[in-house]
Amino acid sequence: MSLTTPENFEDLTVVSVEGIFLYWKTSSSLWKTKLETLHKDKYVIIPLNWGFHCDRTQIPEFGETRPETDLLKLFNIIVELGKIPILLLPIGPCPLQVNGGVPSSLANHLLHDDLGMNVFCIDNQDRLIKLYSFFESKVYIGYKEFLGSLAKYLKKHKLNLSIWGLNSGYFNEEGVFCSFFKDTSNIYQTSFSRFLTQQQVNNASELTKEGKEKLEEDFYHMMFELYSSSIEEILSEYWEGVLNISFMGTGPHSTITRMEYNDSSHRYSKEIFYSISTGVKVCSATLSHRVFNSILNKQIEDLSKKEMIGEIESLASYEEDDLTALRTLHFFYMYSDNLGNFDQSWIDSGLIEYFEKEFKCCHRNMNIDLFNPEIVVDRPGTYHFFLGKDVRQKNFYKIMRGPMNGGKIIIDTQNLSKDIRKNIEIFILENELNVTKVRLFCDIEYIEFGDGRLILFDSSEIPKDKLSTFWEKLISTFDILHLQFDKENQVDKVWQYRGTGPSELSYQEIRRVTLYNDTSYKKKVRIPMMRGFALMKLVDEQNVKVTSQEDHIDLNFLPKSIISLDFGVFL
Amino acid sequence: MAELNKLICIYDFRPLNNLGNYYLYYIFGHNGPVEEDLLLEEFKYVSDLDVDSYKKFRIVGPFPDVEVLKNFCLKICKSINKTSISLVMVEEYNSFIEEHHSLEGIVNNFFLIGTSFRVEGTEKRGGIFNKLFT
Repeated sequence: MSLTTPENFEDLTVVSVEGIFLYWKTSSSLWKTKLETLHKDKYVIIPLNWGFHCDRTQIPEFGETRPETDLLKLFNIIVELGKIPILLLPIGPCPLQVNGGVPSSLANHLLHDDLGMNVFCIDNQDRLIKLYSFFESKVYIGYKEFLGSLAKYLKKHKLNLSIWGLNSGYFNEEGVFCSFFKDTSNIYQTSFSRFLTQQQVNNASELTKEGKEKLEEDFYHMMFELYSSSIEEILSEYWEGVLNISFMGTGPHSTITRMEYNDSSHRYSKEIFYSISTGVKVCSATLSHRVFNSILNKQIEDLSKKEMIGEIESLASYEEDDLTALRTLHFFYMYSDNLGNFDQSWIDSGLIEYFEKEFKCCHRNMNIDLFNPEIVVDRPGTYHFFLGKDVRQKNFYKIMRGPMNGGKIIIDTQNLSKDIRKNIEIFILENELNVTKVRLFCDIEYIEFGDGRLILFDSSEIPKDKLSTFWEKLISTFDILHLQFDKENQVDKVWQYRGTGPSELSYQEIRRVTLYNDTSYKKKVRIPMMRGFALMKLVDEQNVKVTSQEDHIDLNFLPKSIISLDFGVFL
Repeated sequence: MAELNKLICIYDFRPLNNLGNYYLYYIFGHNGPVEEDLLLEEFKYVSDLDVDSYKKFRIVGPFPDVEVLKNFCLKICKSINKTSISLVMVEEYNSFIEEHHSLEGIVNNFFLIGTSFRVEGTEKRGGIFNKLFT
């Protein structure tokens, strides 16, 4: 791929770089040709367009009168081409589809964002997509009827496929994932009032700000659950789970910029990097072909596509099957109940800011239900952070198995319940474990389990201006081998790792750092070499001049340039 | 495109605290949103920033009344060489979005809605005679 020759990305209108096929955007007679010529991957991801199937009548159509709604034909073509169909069923408004996917007969209440403003997006053909609320009871009834018809259709034709629920959203300017399911319109307010009555809250105006926010959050989760559990119940044999996907360029700031066709690829690179830390998948199917260049294209290919496919293939097969496949390098996993975003407590404690500065993209938000004590030691030098409020009776022993298996577990005991605190103390006594106490702005307890370690402290005791020093000192005691450079983040970079091949057995693992300069400026980056790392080779070098000295490597980036460097690592 | 030198400001009334009630949600021109650093720098001369609201929603405020908000916006216009500002309340913005069904419709009319104010000294010159005699 050349950086100088103009490239044609126009075909991305129907098939996105991630392999998402927007079947309603082309004639069914062209499906096979488009998939054959434009789709290079194993999985064909199809976001089901509810509104498109119910365009003319309330009764869903699956090819009876309009060939573009013929899912059987589409699935047969995919299978014939040796590919695997994956169906995404939107739970809430989807910015890829007219009316956000809601049939026009049910599109009555425009979605409002947190500021009370109507929400609209721009699709990959620069068309207006208005989004409609899913909080209206008629919408829910219609959705459930559609699920019923879809289930009958899939069973009748004995179609074998996986279905994922799609929670569409966008990354805001702070890198926080905002779901389009959320609403503040009048119809939402009416439903919320009914919910308050059910919760026996008689006078909503008497609620504190925090109390109201908590109830709103509960209501939002309850409604989302209502939709997702309907899919799970009606399409149980196909159901896989929910995918949070941030669609690039659909946030309000991006939309304003895109209205004047002023968008730039650099803006979207940022969203890809947010996704690496938050775990939310990111998708470019909403972007106009104009913004694509070879750097953005490579970032999507290398990072966002891999993340999405990894989730779809399920973590087990993705990680176990091919040890020499590159995976994103994460040293720190931060668990919470939050879906898709770092818990506010991690942000308030200054930990996210510290990681962003010192270990950019090497920390990862994880849902606490996904914590697996059996694999915590899969990679040495991996640390697992928990918040006291999320450690409960139901997951206490699972978390404690982590250090027993040799894992490194860190618990911020702020808001830890007294019962759990007592459980930890009993656990320490029963297992005759040694507790070492250290004072660093707060009491830190180190409990060793052979190779495993449990670290406890209460971050609320640390003065705010000392938080960054606290994290720096605490993390410097961790056993992490990492090549840190370019702390000013002049260029975007991501670290990946893989197992060693037969010719690389002198190393424990291979790490690849890819650096992207998506700006129109020249940049200089110096990588100081350290013990334990050996430069093996340069990969995909485009417009970067490399000079290597004994103790450092200098990289001189021209505008719009990329390079990857492979290092052999002795752990 | 109506006026290339115009900014548009979307604002609303928020009964959040006792400091003030009006908040600036978005301010942008034909080249996209105005730099946040500039907004925050200028806002220092208006009042203390409601940090919680800024962090949560990226909105700037509180402004005690619309007049102060208007003067703030005109100052922003001046510092980035724009000649006028259109103040649009969220309710008006929502009706505008509801009325339009194409992106062209929105883009072509966006800068025509709201209440417009010009930066002093940039009044529109009328015809050729005005130009000759001023």
